[in-house]
Amino acid sequence: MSLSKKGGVHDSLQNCYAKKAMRQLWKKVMVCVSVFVFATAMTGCGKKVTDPVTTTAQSEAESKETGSNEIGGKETSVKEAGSIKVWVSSGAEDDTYREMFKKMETEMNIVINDEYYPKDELDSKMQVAPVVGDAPDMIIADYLQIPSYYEAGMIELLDDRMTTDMKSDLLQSIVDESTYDGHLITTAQFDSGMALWANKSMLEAADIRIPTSYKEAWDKAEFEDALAKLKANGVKYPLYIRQNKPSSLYFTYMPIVASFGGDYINRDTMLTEGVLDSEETIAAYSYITWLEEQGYINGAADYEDAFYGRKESALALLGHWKYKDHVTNLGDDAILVPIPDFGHGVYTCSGSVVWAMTTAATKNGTADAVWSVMDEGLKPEYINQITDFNGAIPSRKSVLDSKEELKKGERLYLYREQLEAGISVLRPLTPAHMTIYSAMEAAASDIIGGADAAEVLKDTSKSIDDIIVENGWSLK
Amino acid sequence: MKTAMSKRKKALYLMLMYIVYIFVAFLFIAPIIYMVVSSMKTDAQIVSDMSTYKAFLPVGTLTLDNFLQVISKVHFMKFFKNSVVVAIINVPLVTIVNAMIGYALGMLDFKGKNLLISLIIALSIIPTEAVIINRFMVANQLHMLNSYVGLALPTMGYPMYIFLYYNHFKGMPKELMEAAIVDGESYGGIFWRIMLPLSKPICATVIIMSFIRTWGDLLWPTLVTRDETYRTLPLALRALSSDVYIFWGQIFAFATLMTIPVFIIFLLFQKQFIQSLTMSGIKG
Repeated sequence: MSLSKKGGVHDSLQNCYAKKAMRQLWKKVMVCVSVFVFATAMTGCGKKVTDPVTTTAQSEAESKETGSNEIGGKETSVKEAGSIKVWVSSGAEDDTYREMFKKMETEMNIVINDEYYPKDELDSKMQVAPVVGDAPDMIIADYLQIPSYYEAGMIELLDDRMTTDMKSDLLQSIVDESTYDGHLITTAQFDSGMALWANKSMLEAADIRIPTSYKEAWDKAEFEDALAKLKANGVKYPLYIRQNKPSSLYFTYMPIVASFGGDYINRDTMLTEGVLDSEETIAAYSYITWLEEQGYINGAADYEDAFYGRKESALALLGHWKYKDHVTNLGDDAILVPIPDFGHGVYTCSGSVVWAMTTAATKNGTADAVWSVMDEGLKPEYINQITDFNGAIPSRKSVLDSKEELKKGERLYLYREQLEAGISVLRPLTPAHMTIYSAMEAAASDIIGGADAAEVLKDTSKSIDDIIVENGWSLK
Repeated sequence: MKTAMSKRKKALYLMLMYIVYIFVAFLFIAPIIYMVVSSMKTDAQIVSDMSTYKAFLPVGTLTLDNFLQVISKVHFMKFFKNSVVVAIINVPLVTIVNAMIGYALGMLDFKGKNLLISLIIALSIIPTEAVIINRFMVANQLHMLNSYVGLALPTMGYPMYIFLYYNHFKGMPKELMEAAIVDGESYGGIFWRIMLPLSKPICATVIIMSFIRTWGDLLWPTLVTRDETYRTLPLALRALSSDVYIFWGQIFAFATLMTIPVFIIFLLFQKQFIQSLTMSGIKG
């Protein structure tokens, strides 16, 4: 009896503690929820959006709730030929595109619903878009994403839309990249400019010859002599290759690989075997290890400003996109020199952000509207608008002369000279492009970290080829 | 004499231990200091201080511009609201639903229970990435894409939390349940009125862990959000860098603001969280 009584007291005590514990837990949960609700309310109250994209997105949400078909003043729920949906691979140029589209909307009486996503996210969204049924009418993205969309039947052909005059006015590198499977599938407002950025004062102080044309490029011996002289002259790490962000080396290191006689892929079979793991490509990547061993590059750098800020490097393997940083910080000292000849010639590389019409546009009945926007984007005023911002090379020959910096004797003339000379290497035109890009990012990172280039490239080649074969992307 | 020596040795030992503690504590707190300090620097200053001790110090021109940019230009509040709504839906559901499953598996006897437990344990070793496409297809069929429900519901069941609850309930005295049954309580009543209140430390652990998981989830929202309306904080944070550009100051300011709610949640539940860790230590 006493035991049972004890048990009863114990139980009631336990219940009492349990209730107290539960009360405290719920109290905390309630505090938490209140904080969230308050914060949410605050965000609602403080909502003052001026950005057109955000306004559109929020209005879309509101219109879903209210059933209205008005989106930021744009009629979109009923699909019209004059209303198009554009997905843009987010970048530094986002605001420029927004301004451009706003102007086009006014001038062309068209509604452009533009949305901006980071490259990986855009790729994920595009891959599942056919299942969801929300593919955009047009995309603006790095070309390396396009071939796989084309193979998936998501990209519309442009052969019959672009005039012969326009096509002949485009830089050959743009036409080459835009042509896939024998068809024109994209347009572009600009091409990349790629060479070595150099600090003129540092080169002069070390008594190094400064080549101004690709025809006068240093050979390997002269380049190595220049690095040695710079090092001896107190330049801590003469060369910066953006080793802190190896993904960019996929593009920027391509001319060096080509000059060593290598490549990423066999362009006939579209397999990497025998090319990516060839002696030449291995030699090109082993060169990074050699540069590190000599103290010419800092493999442990995790910063961006080695060339223009810290000035610990006199040369930088970077493209046109660093124009603003370099010119702002170094002024007239920021000059271009060609990438050296490592034995198989002098090369640059080209590649661009392209505009592509999707097959969804045809299904939605907006193909003509999309093309009118694409065509408008190739007008000199829009090409100038974007290239003034990012320092890239205009895609149309007729626009090149309007750029002071691209005229003979000017700072960026080398970019133009190289592209016009046709010495640029294109990234592989294959649906496996993103696969190669990701694998090479990891490979470059490992090699910079001290791994053996031969071993890394052999493994990388095998893993890429496995994916290519599995997906049926090879031409063998 | 000996006592004085031993006292000195003890003091020296304590001092050494404290130095080690402070060093370890610094290792944990250093990234947070780095983040907060960098959020008040300009991009150029951040880049120039990188790889030096200055990165941890508030040196150079300090400004709140990055925060203003993040709030006005990047629209932090819009994404914050989305993340908060998703967390409000997801965290309580995760806490309760997984507790119910753990309770059933740990305290009740029914046919196929062991098979179910084995399956759940097996599920916990399958990475989310391996099943995400299937989950996406189901969400698409249920018309849950591009909605708060689509963001919060499909991530509700989580094998690890079920296993945590299962272990906890399995260790509870069966007599408690038997006494309640004798008193006429239903299984549901036992769960709500007896078992759940006694599971406060485990609940706190699951709340903290599921909140951190939901708050920082990138992969699922990448697929589920189909336009900018429902984008959450991690998606917006990722948009601040690409191959070509990195807005360092805005990234640090964004990350600082994004970390505050995690701190609040942890501070609110830290007592129960530590209690839960201690309990598992005793059991282990």
